[in-house]
Amino acid sequence: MTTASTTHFSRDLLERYVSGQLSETESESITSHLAECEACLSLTDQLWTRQPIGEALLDNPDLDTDTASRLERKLVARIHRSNLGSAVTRLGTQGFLSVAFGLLRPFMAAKPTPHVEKGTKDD
Amino acid sequence: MSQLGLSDLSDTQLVRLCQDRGAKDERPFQELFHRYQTLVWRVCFSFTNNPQDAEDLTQELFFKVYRSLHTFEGRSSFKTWIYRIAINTCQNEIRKRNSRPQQSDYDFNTLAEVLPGTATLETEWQQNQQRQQLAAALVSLPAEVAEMLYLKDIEQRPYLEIAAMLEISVSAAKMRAQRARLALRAAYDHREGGG
Repeated sequence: MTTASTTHFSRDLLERYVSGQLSETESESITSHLAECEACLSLTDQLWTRQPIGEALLDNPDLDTDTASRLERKLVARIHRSNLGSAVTRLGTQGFLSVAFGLLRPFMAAKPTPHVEKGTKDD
Repeated sequence: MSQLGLSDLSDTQLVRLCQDRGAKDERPFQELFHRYQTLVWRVCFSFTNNPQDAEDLTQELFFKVYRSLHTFEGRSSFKTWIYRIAINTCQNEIRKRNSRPQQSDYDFNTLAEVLPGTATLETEWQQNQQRQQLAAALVSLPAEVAEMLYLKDIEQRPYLEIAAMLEISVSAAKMRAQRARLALRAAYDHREGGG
């Protein structure tokens, strides 16, 4: 096995590489080579997609239009509910604060009476 | 900019609009949803191998994104950001379900009893088993490894684009993709071998 970027790896070796049959050191050496060698990388990509696991990754279905529309309806409804909930909470908090402030206002507005201690007057 | 429709705006512009308008206008968020619903659903399906679960998770995830948009600072692209949220949410959700991602809607065992020896059914059953193994292997991988597999092998993006998305060199993208595949292979074989 060689790691020189001018030399290409054999198909057989790359097949063993993608099927995880090589040691960690061998695999790492090939990985480094693939970063520099377009031909070996291209072949490795092809070999990987022909592996059952590579095929299974590719065989990922697309979202169909019915599901997409349903998803959007549900999501928008959920966002509306959430925003409404937040607005109600905000209004509730504001309402509570304004009532509380209204009740406390007369006390806050009243002038504090000067505190006179008994026996301090000079009479 | 008033002449432009929402579909003409970039992701970043849409996110900014969402952040500015908040609950007053959900249309910019709906546009983002249209752009990424398939991507997110596919991520969710890969992890769950179940269309209904994928749908529920996609809804959950977009709601989470909607609520977290104010935290998006634009340090990575919106696409990368949503990818990462999708993968993390799926992994957390599946792990929470006690690492049982593969509760398929289709009960092939039962069908096989009714229609024994049907070649198509057998193939479908095998494919389903394979997807279940794959889903379980994906859950076990670190999020950044799963992300690389999505970008390269599910979305089939070129290395150059992956490098740009992840802000790494093309050589690094190539190496990370290979290492991600080897990690998936090891996790897959480990599960297949009953490990």
